[in-house]
Amino acid sequence: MRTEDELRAVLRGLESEAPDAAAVLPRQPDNRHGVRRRAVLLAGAAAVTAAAVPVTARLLTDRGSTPAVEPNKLHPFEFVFTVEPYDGYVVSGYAIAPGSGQVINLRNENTTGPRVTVYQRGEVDGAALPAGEPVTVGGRPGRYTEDSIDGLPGGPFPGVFWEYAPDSWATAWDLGTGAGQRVASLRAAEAVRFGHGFPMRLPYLAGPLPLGLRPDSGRLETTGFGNAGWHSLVRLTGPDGLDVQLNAIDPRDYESSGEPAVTAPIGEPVLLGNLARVRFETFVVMVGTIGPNGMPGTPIDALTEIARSLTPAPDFADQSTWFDPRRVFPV
Amino acid sequence: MTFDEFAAERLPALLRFAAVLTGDRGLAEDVLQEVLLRAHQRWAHIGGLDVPEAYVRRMITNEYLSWRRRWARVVPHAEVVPPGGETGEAAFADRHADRDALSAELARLPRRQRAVLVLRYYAGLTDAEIALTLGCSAGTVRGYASRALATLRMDLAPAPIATIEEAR
Repeated sequence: MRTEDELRAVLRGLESEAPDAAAVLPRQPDNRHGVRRRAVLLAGAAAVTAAAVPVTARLLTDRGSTPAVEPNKLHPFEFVFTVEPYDGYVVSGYAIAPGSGQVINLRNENTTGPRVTVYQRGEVDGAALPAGEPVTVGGRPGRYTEDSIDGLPGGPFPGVFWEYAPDSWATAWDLGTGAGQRVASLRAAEAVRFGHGFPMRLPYLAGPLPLGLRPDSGRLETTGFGNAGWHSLVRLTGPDGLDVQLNAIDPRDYESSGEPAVTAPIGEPVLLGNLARVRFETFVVMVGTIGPNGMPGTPIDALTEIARSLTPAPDFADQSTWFDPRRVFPV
Repeated sequence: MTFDEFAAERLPALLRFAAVLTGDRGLAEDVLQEVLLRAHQRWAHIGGLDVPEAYVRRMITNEYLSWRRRWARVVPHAEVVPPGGETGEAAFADRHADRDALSAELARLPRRQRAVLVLRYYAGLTDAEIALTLGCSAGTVRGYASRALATLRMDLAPAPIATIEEAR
């Protein structure tokens, strides 16, 4: 048996994992704005990064088209832009949520790269944006600033922002400093390609959603560890604050995270904790309410029903076999 | 206190707390950046609190536990390789190996259980304070702690509350 003192010693030992202050406050010595936001770490192995290229390539369209993102005209998981691979950078993650814009993260073989966010028409008050240095992005007017761009939801974002369509704004930013920041932000902005609906694909089909649930937001990103596979998250919301998430993940990454093993037959949902879990040939899906192990009052039957309704994509590692979200969750 | 003053004074402690909570340097960076960003934006409110650090620590904990973070990174757990007997100090080697094993087992705990242990045994919070941080009851906290300690095969002979008080 171990003692609590041993536990304390182990926890204190983990202090050595503390990051440098510079990593979280890069401009601390000259910190006019407190913090600079950095791209969410979406470390991906080279193999995964390479796998992302064809997916991105399929989404490309001519850059001359820059439609505004009309609020409520899109499926919740439908992007209106993508980022063309450049200088070794490829798309490593997508995130989409009401009021927070559409986000694409980039990375190269070794490190995280810039983040591009596109906002819906009217979502950003252009008059509230800072002055900055005038720049042009894809022929559209923009500005570069190292000041906080406080007018952008989810900001501040030091970087470049531009009006890609009337009353419609986008931003690109990077962790670099000084000239590096400027170059990286502008380079990422120039690689943005607009079009008409790029689906954030999902690795399953689902049956009709119970309890009035509707798709709300989602993420698709690489995990940079273990098997470095894609990880798909979907958030569904319903009446009375009902909040359900579906997490699809490589089973090896699932098991290495310490979650209980899913020993039920393939395709057969099982309830572990307050989460319904179902294992397929190439991935595991967890269905639960928000919060570790679910929240009190979890509608267990509904979660199990959702899990049972899932039909897996043929190959979790190959996004070309995944499904269009408009087919998975019609709205 | 301005945000910059707060960051200059309390950032090292928050860095350590985030590292212990997450057990992963990269994840600690991610979590802390997100939290500091939001704290900066809300500083007019947070800066006026009696103990801003406690509020920010709560933000860190909840960011770590949030659905956005839960699967944002999947941390591999290295196999624990017992050290060889080259030093000839078997007892030291055994103790070292067990700490490695304990650290690995901590990493495998469900996040909420791990958070409870960190808040109780590292941050020195009472169960009532932990309950406030996590937004649950003290009984739920004790349940998480009990399951976590059982998983880690902890000897619970010393009363946790008394130990915490002594640590203060």
